[in-house]
Amino acid sequence: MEMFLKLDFWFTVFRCATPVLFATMAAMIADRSGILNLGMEGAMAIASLSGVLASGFSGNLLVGGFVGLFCGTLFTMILAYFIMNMKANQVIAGIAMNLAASGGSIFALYSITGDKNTSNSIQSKAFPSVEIPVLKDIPVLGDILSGHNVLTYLAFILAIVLFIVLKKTKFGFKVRAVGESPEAAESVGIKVHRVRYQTMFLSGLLASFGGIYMSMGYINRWTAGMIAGRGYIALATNAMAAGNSLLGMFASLLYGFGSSIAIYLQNMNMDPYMVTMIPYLAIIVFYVLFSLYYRHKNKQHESL
Amino acid sequence: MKKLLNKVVSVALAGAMVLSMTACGSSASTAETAPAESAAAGTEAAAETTAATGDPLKITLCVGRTNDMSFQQSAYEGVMKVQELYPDQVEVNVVEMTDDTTKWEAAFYDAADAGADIIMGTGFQNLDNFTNIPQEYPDTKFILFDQGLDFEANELPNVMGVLFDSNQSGFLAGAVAAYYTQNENAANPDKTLGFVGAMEIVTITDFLVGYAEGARYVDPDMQIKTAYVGDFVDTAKAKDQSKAQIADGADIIFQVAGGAGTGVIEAASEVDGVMAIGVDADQYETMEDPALKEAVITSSLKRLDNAIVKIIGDYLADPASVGFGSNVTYGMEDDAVGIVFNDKLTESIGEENVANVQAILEKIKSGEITVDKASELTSDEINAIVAGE
Amino acid sequence: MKKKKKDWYGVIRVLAAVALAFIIATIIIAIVAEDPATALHKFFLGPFSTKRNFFNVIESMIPLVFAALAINIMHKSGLFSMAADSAFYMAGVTAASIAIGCKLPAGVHQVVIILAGALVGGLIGLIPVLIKKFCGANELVVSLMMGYLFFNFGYWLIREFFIDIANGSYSVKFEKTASLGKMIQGTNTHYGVLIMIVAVILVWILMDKSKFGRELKITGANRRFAKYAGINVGGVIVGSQFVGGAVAGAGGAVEMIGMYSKFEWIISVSYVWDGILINLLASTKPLFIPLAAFFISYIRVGATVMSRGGDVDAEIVSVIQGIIILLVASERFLYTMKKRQEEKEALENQLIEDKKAEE
Repeated sequence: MEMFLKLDFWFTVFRCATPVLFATMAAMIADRSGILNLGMEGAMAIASLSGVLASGFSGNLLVGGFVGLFCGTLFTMILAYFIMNMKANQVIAGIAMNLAASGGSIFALYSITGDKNTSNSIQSKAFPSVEIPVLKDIPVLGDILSGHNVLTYLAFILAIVLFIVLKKTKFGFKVRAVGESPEAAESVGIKVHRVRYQTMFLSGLLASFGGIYMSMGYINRWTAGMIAGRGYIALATNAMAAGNSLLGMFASLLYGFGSSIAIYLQNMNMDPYMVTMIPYLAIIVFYVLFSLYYRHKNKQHESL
Repeated sequence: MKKLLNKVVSVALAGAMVLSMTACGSSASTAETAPAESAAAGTEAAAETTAATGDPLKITLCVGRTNDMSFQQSAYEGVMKVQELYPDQVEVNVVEMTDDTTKWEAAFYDAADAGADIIMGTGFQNLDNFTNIPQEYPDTKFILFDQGLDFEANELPNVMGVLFDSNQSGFLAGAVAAYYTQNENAANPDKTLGFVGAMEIVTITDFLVGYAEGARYVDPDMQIKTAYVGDFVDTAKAKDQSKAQIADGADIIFQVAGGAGTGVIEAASEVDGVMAIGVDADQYETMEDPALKEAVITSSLKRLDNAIVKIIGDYLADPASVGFGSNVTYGMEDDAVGIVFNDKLTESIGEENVANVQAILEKIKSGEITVDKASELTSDEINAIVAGE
Repeated sequence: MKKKKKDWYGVIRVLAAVALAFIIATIIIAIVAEDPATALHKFFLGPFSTKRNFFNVIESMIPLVFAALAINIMHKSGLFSMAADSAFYMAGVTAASIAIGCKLPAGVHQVVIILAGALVGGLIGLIPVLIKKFCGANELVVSLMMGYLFFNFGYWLIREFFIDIANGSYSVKFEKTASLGKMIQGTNTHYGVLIMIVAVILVWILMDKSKFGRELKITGANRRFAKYAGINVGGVIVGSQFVGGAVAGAGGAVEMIGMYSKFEWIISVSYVWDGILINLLASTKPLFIPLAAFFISYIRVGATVMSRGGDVDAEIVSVIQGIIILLVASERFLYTMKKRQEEKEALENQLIEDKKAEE
């Protein structure tokens, strides 16, 4: 239990939560407009790779970040096009896009650089960590909350922004209206297609932030399979949060907590495979508990 | 380098294509007309090429991929050196079989059918391939690196298993770590050392056993934190584990994690006074990022490339001098294992300690120090050694 | 007459998607390869270049067929469960355990292993649907998380009980009596091919010829209607998840004792995505699944042959697969063709009716 007393343990919780929080928000905004965006895993992979490549070739961090966000968002917009205009089943279309992204990113890396699986020959840039003035001087709290990557702070700020946008703004109202009943929204003059394209755009952008954080913050290179299911985990954290991005923050931190435990337990010579199960187990257990709670709350009994 | 490979490969492919061209018309299961293609004709063809003097020695190296930052890459560099050293006498071919091991067997058969004289492979994954395939191709030579073969149970006169004394490399790494962690350059005075491995397999735990024994040889109070990534590629996980070890007081971490090991070096580079020990190749030289370079205090070597150059050199001089039909271990005298002595090391632990490490090296060579081998220990015994019990 | 035309439309759509994917792949290969002619030649004809490569296609299609059959059954219910992956992996673990731990005569040993694998797979298939039923959690999310969980759990079991200390990551060897045996000498093709054929026929009978299959189809298409028709909807769905999981499990067991002589799945093994693609290519018809699986296996092996030593990565296959799934899953792909055809049909019908009226 002594690991809980280590400040770095809690620091790690935030570090691990960041990409999942971005993806959770990505899932949430699409979900709220009535689209199940399964393509976040792929968008993150594409964004993380293109960010690394662009920052490596240009030598400029911001160019890398921008290209990463652009490619990941474009990827999501293609998915949106297939779902909305081509009327593809959203689950299957998402799967197809992820499949293409997971292999396509490895293929692209090899074709462009000659590297297989890891971008070792690219000198890519990373987003810096920042010390928060005042906060960093507070004992304990400063050690845990200060000194994180800029993108970590951005994620948590965006979670609050998203909460406000969905709850208080006209756009948020439109999104929710479209998600709850597209027909009704249409009848009051809301352009369902346009709103959904807008939310998919934002969803792609948020997922791409998660992607570039992985390869330009969390670590400073791209590795095949580095997204490691975080895009899927976000489906669970989003389901737990039920459209509330503050709850999404909590759910992401829960994942971060599980991951941090897994990392620390391994250093105590626990079996690595046993330990790796912890974050996934935590997500499943809490997701099931939350589902029970929501079901109880809604008293909606669906017999399958 | 890649372009060079491409050229070598495309020449080889062009040849293979001409052959398969003739095959594609006929149905797949019938034997092809081209002599070197079908399995039955392949052995004869191989025998002919070996017998005919003047023909270059055809060497085919089959690895998952050539840039794993670990021993597959080292093997690749070895055959490339061989090609440079003996341009007229050998013809080197490199086959990347991808990470999907179910496709590997077919690749070895293809190489044998294509008339290679010597086929090389790496790693424990190839144990079955190097036990079964050579029996069908008695005139082709097979060399498996980093994995011993069972020569008692199988008739394998044309196969050689090449092993390395990586426990000795690990021992030296442990000594360096022990000197460093008590040094004023280190982040803290704790006697805590870190180790991040890819998987709990013998080729990796062999380093670990040596590391633990080497560290305790210098100072019996050394504590070692260990973690395993679970694969050879997850850089992020390796970095997380290293960070946790650093938080636990480790200020030097030995990585034996293939490509994932870059994550360990990255973690070390981010904290002042924390260093990483590289593995297999001299990673101070192979790291391109200057920040990462500076975090590599030394590297614990396992030089497949040197072993390959030596084996092929011997084979060209006298085929009988190479120990086919047995497992051969390469160690310090062949320059196949050891540790990197460079300015970075001297700067980090001081001249006096460098001399101490060199003295230890001599003692290992002379047999005064013997290091345990992971292959002769159970996993409980290994854990006991690491825990210092 | 009308029905047949509609089928043609489906076939043309799939073929067009495949053709389009190949064209895109060819263009990509032509751009990245230093010697595109050789690369393309290897890609398209590599699988037929040697006996071993050809039978590599056959042996690689076995797990694909099992996965697609499992998906066929599980997804027909309208539930998007990905539990087939967990079922496949854990059945492999079960198979390895029995193959190492039990001493049984050859013949019995294999049957026990496959049945045990199927049972484990079936039980795992039930997890997402039961969680959904009792807790309301989404089956897609739960089953995706389960994949990570069961891989780590399964491999932990193997490490804990059957690890071979000599190499530290594979299990010790299976008993010789557990092997499915090589069917074609000089290749790895094993008797699992025959089991695969049996599985295809059984699933075909189950889905197309039995009451259960009919009820499942109705339930998947329209749950409310199924309820009105007096179908035990809950039972049918749960049953489909068990049977689908069992098919995946049988596949995992067959693959384990057919292709391997020790447990070697040290990284997670995933076939669901392929299963979904193949099921889609086969227009969710069990009898077409082997054909679609052969095709996917063929491009896989072709890509591997191409990548061996070449400068084109085998992962190009994933891109091809992604494009194919995307297009086939798009209702609007070649929609104008369908529309034109429907218009034509409507016109014909109109004419016929007009004629009838005249008469």
